[in-house]
Amino acid sequence: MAAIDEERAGLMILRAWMEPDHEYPLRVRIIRFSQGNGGAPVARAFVSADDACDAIRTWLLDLERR
Amino acid sequence: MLGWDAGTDWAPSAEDERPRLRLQLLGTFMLVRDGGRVAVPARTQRLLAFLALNGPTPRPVIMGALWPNLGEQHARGCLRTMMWRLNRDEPRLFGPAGDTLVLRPDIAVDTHAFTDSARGLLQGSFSAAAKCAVLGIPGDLLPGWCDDWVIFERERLRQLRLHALDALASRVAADGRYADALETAIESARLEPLRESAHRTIIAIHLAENNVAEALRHYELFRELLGTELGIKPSPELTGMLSAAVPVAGR
Repeated sequence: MAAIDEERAGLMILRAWMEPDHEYPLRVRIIRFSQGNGGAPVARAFVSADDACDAIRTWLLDLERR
Repeated sequence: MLGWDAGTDWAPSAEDERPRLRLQLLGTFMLVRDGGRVAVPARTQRLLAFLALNGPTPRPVIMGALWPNLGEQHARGCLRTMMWRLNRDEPRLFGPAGDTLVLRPDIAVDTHAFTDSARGLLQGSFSAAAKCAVLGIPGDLLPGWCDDWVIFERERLRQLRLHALDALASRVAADGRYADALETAIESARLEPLRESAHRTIIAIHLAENNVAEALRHYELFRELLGTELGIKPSPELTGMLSAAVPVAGR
């Protein structure tokens, strides 16, 4: 079991659901926890899968750069 | 859940008066024995909480969850020490079954009762006890705990509560108990402000009580929230509810 570098680790929770009868039915709430195991959560919401994926990609790239 | 094995040294004896043990994880960590709070060191709280939330778990899984940053040997030593301390301070709260650890089955865990109640509500069982369990929880799961396994479980319980509150609000509103329905729907909207269902229930209740001004006020609050957070408007269905009640040109 390899040890994890906490400075280069993160946690993200993605919750998605569909709102019926709406022009933009997708809802995505992304909650990310900075600095490894835990940290203060930051939440953002999206109605587009592309925007949500962009947010995830940005977060992962930032993690790579640390 | 594995049963108690009379052959192990942690099985209750015939002479024992079985203590009433209760483990609270919602709102705060608290272990209660016969009505009195039991002091449990912070380190050993994690093992108890993990077993309560995950059920019987192999030791390697526990090691990986509680000490993700340590090597296997180090983590195994930490687990062994934690088990020794817990057995020293509060014996027979858990026990081994091969390479698996299991929490004592007669410990009443509040998250189990909450989950049963919430699922009952979702299946249409609207008992008073279930309503209290879903509405009256003292707080989030283990607030302030930042372990991944706690965060995931906290989110799962929050979602379960959200759906149970929606089901309860609809049922209570249909029974004409508007005050209770409103309280329930407001709590649901607080948990996830972007879900339209709770806001729809709130507005419907205000309209049912001929409180059009309140219905309009809440609609405007929700519309502003959606605009700010997502850049969108409420659904035509929700807007239609207000239009039918307050036919104003240009809305």
